Amino acid sequence: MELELTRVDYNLVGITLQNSLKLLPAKKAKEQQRFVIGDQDGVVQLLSVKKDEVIVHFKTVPGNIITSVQLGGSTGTIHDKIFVAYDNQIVGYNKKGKVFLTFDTNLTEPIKSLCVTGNDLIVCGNHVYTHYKDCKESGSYLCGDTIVDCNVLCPHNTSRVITILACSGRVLRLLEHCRVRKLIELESIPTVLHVPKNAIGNKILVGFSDGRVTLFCVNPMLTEVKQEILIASKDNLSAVTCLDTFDLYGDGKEELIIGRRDGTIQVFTTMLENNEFEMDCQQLLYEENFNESISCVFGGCIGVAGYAELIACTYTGKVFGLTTRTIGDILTDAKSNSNVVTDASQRIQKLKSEIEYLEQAVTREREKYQLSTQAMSSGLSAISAMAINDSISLSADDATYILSLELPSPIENILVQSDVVALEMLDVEGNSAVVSKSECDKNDGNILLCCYRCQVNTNRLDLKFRTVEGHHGTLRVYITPNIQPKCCQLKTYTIHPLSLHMVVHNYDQTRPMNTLTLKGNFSQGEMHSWISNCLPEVPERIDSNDENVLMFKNVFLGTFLICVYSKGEAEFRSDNVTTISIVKDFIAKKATTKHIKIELTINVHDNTTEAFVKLIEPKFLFYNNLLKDNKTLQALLELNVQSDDEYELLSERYKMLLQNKRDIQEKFRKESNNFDRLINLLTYFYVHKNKLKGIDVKNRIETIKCSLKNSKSNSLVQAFSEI
Amino acid sequence: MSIKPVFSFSIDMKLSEKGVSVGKYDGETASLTAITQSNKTTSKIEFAITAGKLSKSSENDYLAIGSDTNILVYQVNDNLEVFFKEITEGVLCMIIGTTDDRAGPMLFCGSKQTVRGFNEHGDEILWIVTSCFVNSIELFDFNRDNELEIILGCENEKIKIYKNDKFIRELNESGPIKKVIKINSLLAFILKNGTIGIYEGHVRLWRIKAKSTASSAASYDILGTGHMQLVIGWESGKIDVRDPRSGDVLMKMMSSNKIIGLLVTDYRGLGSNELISISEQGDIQGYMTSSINLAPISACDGSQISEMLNLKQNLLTELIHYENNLRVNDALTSASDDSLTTVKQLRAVANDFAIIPANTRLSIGISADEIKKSSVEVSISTNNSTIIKAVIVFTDGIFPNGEVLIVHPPTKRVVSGIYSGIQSASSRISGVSNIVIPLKIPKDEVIDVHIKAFVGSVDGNQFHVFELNRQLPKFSMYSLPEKISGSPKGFEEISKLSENFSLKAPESFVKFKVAERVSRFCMFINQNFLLPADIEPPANEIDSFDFLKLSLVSLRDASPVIITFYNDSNIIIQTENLELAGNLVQSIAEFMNITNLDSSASFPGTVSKFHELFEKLQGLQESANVLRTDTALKINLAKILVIRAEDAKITNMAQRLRVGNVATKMMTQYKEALLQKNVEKLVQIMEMGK
Repeated sequence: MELELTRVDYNLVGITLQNSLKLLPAKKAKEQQRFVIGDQDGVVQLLSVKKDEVIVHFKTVPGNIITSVQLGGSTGTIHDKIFVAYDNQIVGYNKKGKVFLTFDTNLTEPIKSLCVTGNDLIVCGNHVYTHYKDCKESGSYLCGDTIVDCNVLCPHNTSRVITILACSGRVLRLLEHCRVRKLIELESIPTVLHVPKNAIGNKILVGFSDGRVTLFCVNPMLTEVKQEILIASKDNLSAVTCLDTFDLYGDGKEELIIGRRDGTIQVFTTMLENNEFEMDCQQLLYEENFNESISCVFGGCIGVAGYAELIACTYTGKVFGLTTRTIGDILTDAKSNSNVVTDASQRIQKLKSEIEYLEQAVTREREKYQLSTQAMSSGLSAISAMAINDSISLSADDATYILSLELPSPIENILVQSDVVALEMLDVEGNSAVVSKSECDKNDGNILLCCYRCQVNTNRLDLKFRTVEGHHGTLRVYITPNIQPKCCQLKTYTIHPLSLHMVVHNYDQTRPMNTLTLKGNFSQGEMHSWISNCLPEVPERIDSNDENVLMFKNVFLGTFLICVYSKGEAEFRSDNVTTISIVKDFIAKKATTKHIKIELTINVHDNTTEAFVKLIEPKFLFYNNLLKDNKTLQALLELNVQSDDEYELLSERYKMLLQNKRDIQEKFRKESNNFDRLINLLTYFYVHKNKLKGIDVKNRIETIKCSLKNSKSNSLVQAFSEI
Repeated sequence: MSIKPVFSFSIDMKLSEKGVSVGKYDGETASLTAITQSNKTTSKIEFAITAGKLSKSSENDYLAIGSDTNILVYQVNDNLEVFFKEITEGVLCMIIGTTDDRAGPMLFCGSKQTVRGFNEHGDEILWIVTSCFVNSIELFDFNRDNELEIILGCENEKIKIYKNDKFIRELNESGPIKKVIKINSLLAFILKNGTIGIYEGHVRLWRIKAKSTASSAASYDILGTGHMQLVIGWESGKIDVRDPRSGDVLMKMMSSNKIIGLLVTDYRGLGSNELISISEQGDIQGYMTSSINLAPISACDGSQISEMLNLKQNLLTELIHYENNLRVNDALTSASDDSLTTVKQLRAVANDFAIIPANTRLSIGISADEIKKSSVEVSISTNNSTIIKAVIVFTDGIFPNGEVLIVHPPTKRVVSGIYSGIQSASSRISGVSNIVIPLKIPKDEVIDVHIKAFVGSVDGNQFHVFELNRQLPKFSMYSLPEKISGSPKGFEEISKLSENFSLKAPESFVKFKVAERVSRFCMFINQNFLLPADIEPPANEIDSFDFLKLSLVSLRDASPVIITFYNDSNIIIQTENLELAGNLVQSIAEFMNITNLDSSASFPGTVSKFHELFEKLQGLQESANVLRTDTALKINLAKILVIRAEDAKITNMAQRLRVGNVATKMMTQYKEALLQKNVEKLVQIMEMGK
């Protein structure tokens, strides 16, 4: 890696989320910049660094949770006015900490994201976007799904304001005058938007929950969208939490800076300045994991004048820099100024005395608390909940769920309980917690009980698990932080019957489909709620009152499910019989408990079987061959072929196997268990197909599994027809 | 911070964890010796190798190769076999060294049942019966007497220490021992369950458990501090550098391949030792001691500041907890005149707070399960209407799949009541204030149990965590046949329980004499058994009793155990379980500080079983011999085939030197010579063509 960056710790603040930190612009290049942070304790502070010492320019008293910190200023001036969103209020501070604006939006929901440009305020809650001009509402827009982030485009520095909303329903909405001008459909859930400052106002960088970063380019009429994936999603890449572009080398080319949920900060080269679309040569310049999810990262000049630096803050409130100033630079500088080392040790001394003071205070309070828990005491022990930064996502790569949990304090242990049949916890690479499974009795509703005991100073943990469609229930996670008085918090996650489906915007219309039609005395809302109980990612609200359409794709098999429903009628179409069967069972059960009579019609197309099997075939053959290759390879390795002569005696296939030995072994290690998963799915497909026809083949399950597993044939269609 | 290797190369062969060793086979240069994995072709043969100076006269190191049937000691430099020994019980580990100056250097070889010691001529001069698999041997001055003791890491979770063939001490660990390694004056151990740790004498300084399993450890000053660090190689590919006394990690290095060995030797002959890491893939890397002291630099690179910031943050969080607690309590007291408001206020904060009455207590009871008589029961209950949401029991070594047993009562809402264990779900209850957890303890050992119970309200999602630590006595799996109350019991009362004992008294017994005050015996019983009530000695100790008869039932197999202490200092333990009898005798001796104790024993059942097994063994040995001959024949056949193939190759080449008739003629002659086993003629034919 080319870039050498050294970590410098600056400060500790409360919990920070995305958009908590902003760098104030410098008047001159390479001049030290100030930075403003607003945390979950409600404290806003403007800081700068002088000789390793953090200087506080202003700091507010704790108050409501801060959801966004933005910079603004009237056009033509330096954008150094600070706008802070608290609850449903926006407060403006100048750089001296004086409040120049207090604006109550009167919105019904708290502000989630904010954007300031000139005299325009873009304010978003969970679903509502409101546009204010000079603090007067000029319009609003209601989304069915959740607004994740907002930003604006000002093409060619005109007074046009185009709002970009990143929405959880896998879309970007481009609005002008509060009307959607363009809807960009996305393959993954967006997490963050960034508009490169120097661009002419037509480029949008989007970070996604599957780790990818995509650049979108729109024309001024908003009719054409070009997109290019800058960073592709692979190997369970962690979600992008923040993005910036900055010229770290000072060579006129901006680098792409990415912060991720798992604590990784990466720097890539890009050709952003180039208006042409040729950004295919990304080179990784820097990568490091800081173990705490990164809330914000920016490039600038902070610690020492003249040295480019990244400044980042984490969920737990650590603010640190990654400076291009190397130890070598420090030593050279130290020759002219011998204070460097003493500065550092002074900081340590200061911290030490702070800690000592805190320790005394804690001991005093601990004793008081202990007294209050004596037998005669009549009071309560009320320990406040710790903010837990959690996210659960389905990874399209390998059709597994990743649950990431992060606390502001170290985690002692995590207890995982589940009543979902066939839910299986998987190992996460780089996860150092000791996992122990406990015995459990399914009559008590415990299918899984296990405990992750964390190593010291673990603030975040990723749990990975696999589900089998058709089984649903709850995953309960009890998280115990290592803080006195010891308490734990329960988090619950719903596992849907069709847990491996995700929302898509279109589907392969050439595929033959099976249909399930439901007619009965149900409202559209009821059907919507049944569907959202059955499938993940269903928007909370329905966009329209007439026919609503939702499309899903099974990430493991690639089959589709299309739901079209209105009052009294719903139609489900899928090329996978199993999917239809699961939907039928689930909704019929839901309707029965609500005493709603439903008329069911199922239409199974026989040609869907062959199409389905053909769809699976490449995957099946891939895993089947992988297993065979690995077996043969193991035997070949035993042969211990040493000389070229011996090697030449081998057949081409064996030579090929030996050449790709590491590749095969790696693939086998990662993916071999997917074969069993596929066999199971195929078996269930067969069972469900027959079930819908009224034939019970459950007693043949094991035979079917066996014959599929041992099938020698190179055609799955043939193997499947033989069972 | 990372340290770069000073040399690195790969031998591109999969290596086995069973053996990496370094030897100076010519007396000067160090050679690395390893076993490749592909050697496992014929059958599942376990190998072990070691190298060292076995001969008093030669400077050269010998290489010893052990397999599941034999040992071969080999002089690499002269390509000479020194000796070959059959070891029917198989070799698991070996080491060369001197524990007894008179005997000279020995090859110590650990097997499935024994440890044998051979001198350079192959004479067996040491024989220790261990009655357990010996996974690792180390020679180490354990008791600081300036002589090396033999340290054995055993499969049965024990580290055994022998002075030559005399047993000195054993240390109990929480899993099968994989390796024991001396680190200067300390003894490091690696367990198969991922635990590593250090002993100083018989005191364990620290132990930690990790997700991965460690494979090797070495002592080397890689950081240049002037002191040795403990370097641990892991199967995950990680290499840790730790402070041997505290276990603190000083530095970490990462590679993608499983580390199978760490060795310290002067590999390049530069006059200073290097640390060599060997991976399963055959990657070999050497590290040198850093020329500058890296310890303060690694502390100075901001990690100290970030560590302090972490500490500060944790302290602040705790303070905030106390502040908030006071705030809630204050708010409630000021509103306490109106109970409805109180309830409302409580509801409002219920989601953000874990709230329970401050005087909530968790009580714990441990006793033998009274009904099924098959386990020890831990019962936990709260003193009010708060419920126990879940319980985690942490202990090492008693659960089949790891270190925990979790009890999570059903979540459906019903009335509060007692929830007993993981087996019963007959009563569907959710809000439980009392949980009973059955524990089955496999071995007679002291067990530390750490319990974490989540206490709160039925609907809440925040719980207080109560932490309780208890120690179960060594013989907790033996209980009284009848239920008795908790008040202290006299001798007569206890002995009377035996009269109603329905089980037949065991025929086998061990009898011995211990002259100790009877109150000491009471103390022994009270401390080592889990009886519902303490046993009280009679007021007048000397002659106010005839005997104390303690009749017990094993919770494992319901077999009876009767221990009788007579007034004349005689003790009789009646049990069919020889191991239990031994454990009891050892424990009593240890408790009473007795160094020499003689006993008479009669175990007719065990003896007849022994005879039976011995006969069986002879039969088995015979069939093993037959099988082995068969295998030998097959191996010979395979060898012959390989030689034929080689011959064919050479002959082919030789044939290609000749053309036409001459070539065919040559082949006929060649075949003839091959049949006559005439080597000279073969060579001649190859060279001359006839």
